[in-house]
Parts: sequence; C-alpha cells; structure tokens
Amino acid sequence: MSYTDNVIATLKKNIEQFEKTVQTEEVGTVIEVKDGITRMTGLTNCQSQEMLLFPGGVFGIALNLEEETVGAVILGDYTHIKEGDEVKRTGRVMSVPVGDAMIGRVVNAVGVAIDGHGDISTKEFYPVERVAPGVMTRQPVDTPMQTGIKAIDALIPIGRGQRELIIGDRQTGKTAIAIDAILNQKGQNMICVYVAIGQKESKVARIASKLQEAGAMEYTVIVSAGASEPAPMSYLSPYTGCAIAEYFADKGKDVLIIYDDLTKQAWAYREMSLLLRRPPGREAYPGDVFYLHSRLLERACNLNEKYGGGSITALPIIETQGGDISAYVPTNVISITDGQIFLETDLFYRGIRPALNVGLSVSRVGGSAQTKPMKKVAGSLKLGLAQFRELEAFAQFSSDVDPETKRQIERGRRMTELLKQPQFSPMPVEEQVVSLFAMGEGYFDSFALETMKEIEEKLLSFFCASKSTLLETIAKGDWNDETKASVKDACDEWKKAQ
Amino acid sequence: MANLLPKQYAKILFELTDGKSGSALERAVEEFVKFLIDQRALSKKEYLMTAFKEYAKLQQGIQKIVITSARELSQKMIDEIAGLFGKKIEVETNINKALIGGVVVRTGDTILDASVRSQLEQLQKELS
Repeated sequence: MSYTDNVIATLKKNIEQFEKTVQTEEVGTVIEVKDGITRMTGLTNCQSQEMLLFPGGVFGIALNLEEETVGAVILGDYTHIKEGDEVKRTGRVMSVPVGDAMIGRVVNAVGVAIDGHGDISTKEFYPVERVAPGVMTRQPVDTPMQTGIKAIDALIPIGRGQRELIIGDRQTGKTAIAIDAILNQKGQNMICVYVAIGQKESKVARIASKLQEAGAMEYTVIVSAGASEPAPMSYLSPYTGCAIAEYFADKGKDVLIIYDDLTKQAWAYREMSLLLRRPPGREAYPGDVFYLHSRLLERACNLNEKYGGGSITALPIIETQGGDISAYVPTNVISITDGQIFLETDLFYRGIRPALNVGLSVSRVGGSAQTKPMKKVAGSLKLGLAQFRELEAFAQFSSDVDPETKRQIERGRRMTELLKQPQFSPMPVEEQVVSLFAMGEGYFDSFALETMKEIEEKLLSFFCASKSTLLETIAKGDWNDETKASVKDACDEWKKAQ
Repeated sequence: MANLLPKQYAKILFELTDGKSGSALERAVEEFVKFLIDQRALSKKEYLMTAFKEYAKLQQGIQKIVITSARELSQKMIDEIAGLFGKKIEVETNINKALIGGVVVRTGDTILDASVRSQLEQLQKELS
C-alpha cells in the first residue's frame, strides 16, 4: 500500500470513529443557589464526591445525595449561576493534576497555577480523596526528619512518616517552625508541600519569596486557598496537597507536608455543613469533623520497600484560642497525631523562641528515629529541663537554696538559653550534637548567661574550622566511646584557647 | 423542613385526585389547596401545574422528549427520532442555531448530544 493510501485509510478510520460519538450526558437543574451551595433536581445517577460542571466552566462537588435533590458546593465564583441552569455530571470523582512540574510552583486548591508563571503541564490526575495505605504496606518510622531546630530535634524528634502536630495560640511561631523545617530539607532528598488554608494572601506571598530566596522552592510545592476564596476551597486544599504528596511518595520519595492550619479547614467544613443543612454537634461542628482530619492525617505513611519505600511526614498546625487545648478540634487532632509541639504565648514573650513547652510537647514515635549521637547527648535533657522548671518555680518563693539546687537551676537557665534559636537559621544535626554535648559536660558553665549565643557560635566555628572530619562522623550517625573521647578532647582544646 | 419541590407537590396532587370525579374530586382539590395555603406555596401554583401535567403524563406512560436542532426538522424526521424512544411519545422541538448541525435530544435527565457543535468541541479537546 502506498503512503497516500495509508493516510487515506487512517483518516477514513478516524472519521468513522468520530461519527459514532454521540455523547450521552446526564443533567440536572439548579433549584437553589446560596452562599456557594446549590441544590439541584435530576442528576439521577450522581455519585457522592462527584465533580459537577456548572455553566461557565465552574466545577462543584456533590456532597448531599437526597431523595429528590442533590446538594453541592461550588468551587469558585457562583454569582452567575441561577435557578434553572443546567448542571452536567462528569462521572469523575474530584481529582487534581499532579506531577514533577508542580515543584517550585504555587497552585490553588484545584491544582491550577496562581503564581503567574504560566500553566503547569502534567499528565496524571490523582483523586483528592484516597483511602490511606493499609497495614501491610507500612513499616515503622526509622529515619529522622531533621527540622534544624535544636529544641525539636533534641527533645521531640520527628521521624519520616510521622504526624507531628504543631499547636499554639496565634502569634507563637507555629508557621516559623514549619518554614524552618522546609528550609532545613535542602540537600536531604526531600520534597516539601506547604498547604496554606484560609491564610492571608500576603502571608503566602511572603513565605513563597522567603523560600525562593533560600533556594527552597527547588523542592517545594505551595498549595494555597486564600482567605478570600469560598469555603469549599479551604476545605479541599489539604486533600489536594496530600494528593500531590502521594504522587511523590508513590515514586519512592520522602515528602514533608505542612497543613497550615487545620482549624481553618474545620471552620470551612462547618460553614459548608451548616449551609447543607447537616445537623450541628459540639461547637456547631458537624458529626464527622473527626473523620475530616483522621482520614487526611492517616494518609501520612512510611511505606515499606515492597511499596516503593516512600514516606509522607505530616506537620499539621492547629491554632488554639487562649491556650485552650481541650477545645473540640485541638483534642481531636491531638488524639490522631503521633505527638505534638506545644507553643505558648508567655514563653514567646519571655524571649524563649521557639516558645516550646517542654512538658506538654511529646513525640510518640520519633525517638526510635533519632540518630545515635543525638540520642546519647539529648537523653537526659528533657528530664533535666522539666526538673529545672519545677525548681525555678519553687526557688522564686525562697531566697536561700542549697548549692546543688542552685547548680541545677543555673544549668537549666543555660540550657534554656542554648535552646533559643532565631528564625530562618536551621542548624545541622552534627552541630546540634556538639553544642548539646558541650552543654551537658559543663563546658559553658564558666561563661556568663548573656554570652551563651556568642560562645556557642565560637565553639561551632572552631569545630567547623579544625574538626570537620569529626563533624562528618557525627553526621553519619556514628557514636562510640572513641568519638565521645575525641569530641571531649576537642572541647578541651577549645576551652583552653578561650 | 425545607419546602417541597414542585415535583413532590405534583405527586401529592396526583395521588389525591387519581381516579376521582365529581364531588370527590372537588373535595380532594379543596384539601390540596388548603395544604398549599398551609405551606405558603399558593403563589407557586403555575410551576405546580406544569409539574403536575408532566407527572401525570409520566404516570400514564407518556414520555416527553425535547428535540433541539439547528434548522427546522421535517415531520418525517421528527417521527423517526421519536420512534426510537418508544410508542407513547410527546415531542417538543426547539431551534438553536448555535448547534450548527445535528440534533440534541433530551429525555428526562438524560441528554443525547449528536450536534456538530459538541463534536467540534470534542475534536478541539483531542487536538489540544
């Protein structure tokens, strides 16, 4: 057959196939629109969570399937939708585009770029709601996820695949911890997803430019549902972020995802639920607000080798009102996660930043993921600090304390001073170990409390300059009597030079 | 309780009046009107009557189809299309130039779209 014949045959075939396409569409009619919610009749075979196409190319999600009507939320502008409009079924459950091209971009809750750098070309779609990986696909958390914050890495270590809640009042540095954790993932072969839920657009812009400046956008995706966008976008965005994270985890990558913050998502879901006439429960949240967060956070996982060995570490953020962690949503999320980082306002204003409450913060699984050197030097730290807090409160009332108590209080003050760390300055784990070791062995005891920061810097620059091989050994996670002795020798050497 | 839909009112009215005549029918309608007043739905009576007519036809096994085409169709063609959907068919026709060619048939909540416009749209989607 000649080339022309071939072309004719192919084209003919195409034409024949094309002519067969009579599209069958199932439609419904809008009978009510209000506050981003519609009720429709028709849509006979509509599924739960199905995407619906409204006039003007706006999508919605069917949430309430009732006897005669379907209730849906509209994702986007709903002002042009009116009674009698035709709504089409798409037959797809809500899904978002995912892919490597997403890295370095800012997208909205439906995966469309909003950073002004053009469309994102991706081939794959992931459903936003997916059942979490089962028991057989998982393995225990065993690799550390270093945040670069001394207080966290030493006291409440986080492992890859863990879910660690960051909880605290407004203005206590919750986002700062999350951003520092992203910055510290540089060169760690991690992908980061930052989900901003109902945040100010200016805050998201500031975070994006900060990450860009630090070169962290090379491995970060930002999903943003702004405060001005309708509630369904805030409701949807964590699931969108999770779907994007799952794409990378399925490829065997380690992913860090931050939900900032889930309180706002719960508010958005409460708004939607009330408008959809679902019965309100405690604090007017619907009955399934627990499931809202548990099904999201359960998708964080550490997959075993058979399933690619990827992981998703989740750092959800919850904002409390007046330090009340026994409100409905905070208690729910505390019980779902593997521990919490509790930040307090008065610590923050006393200058202890990060404003970590050591007593109330825990990590239930991260301990097994801590590196050996860190485990050794930080082992007694938490207990020492807790004792110090108690003694300090006690010593306030009595002026004369015995020398042993005084020494403990003095040590505790230095410890607290050492754990202070400014924002955007994550510290590598080996330097943390050296610093905490020197503290524990009493090398800082002879210096004034106010000069701790400088002294620590001096010690670390001494180590970086002349003991780099030792630092490398610690970074590898080796720790035995020999390394301990050589770190001790090095500290002695430094102390003499002072 | 949310307001009832026209379709639901239509069903109530149909069940009340089905097979009745004379004073019994009058009594049933009276009761239904009282119910409408109770529900504050009397002002919606036009919508209700349209819905009732449709519902009654559906109950008698008459199916309604709406054929939309770009140009006026011959009666023969309409009959041919209607014949594909069964025997008791009521046909409504519309003209919509934007379809360019072909027909769109709607039965209940299902639309069969065989218009040139939708095929062009699909072609565009496949090519992009």
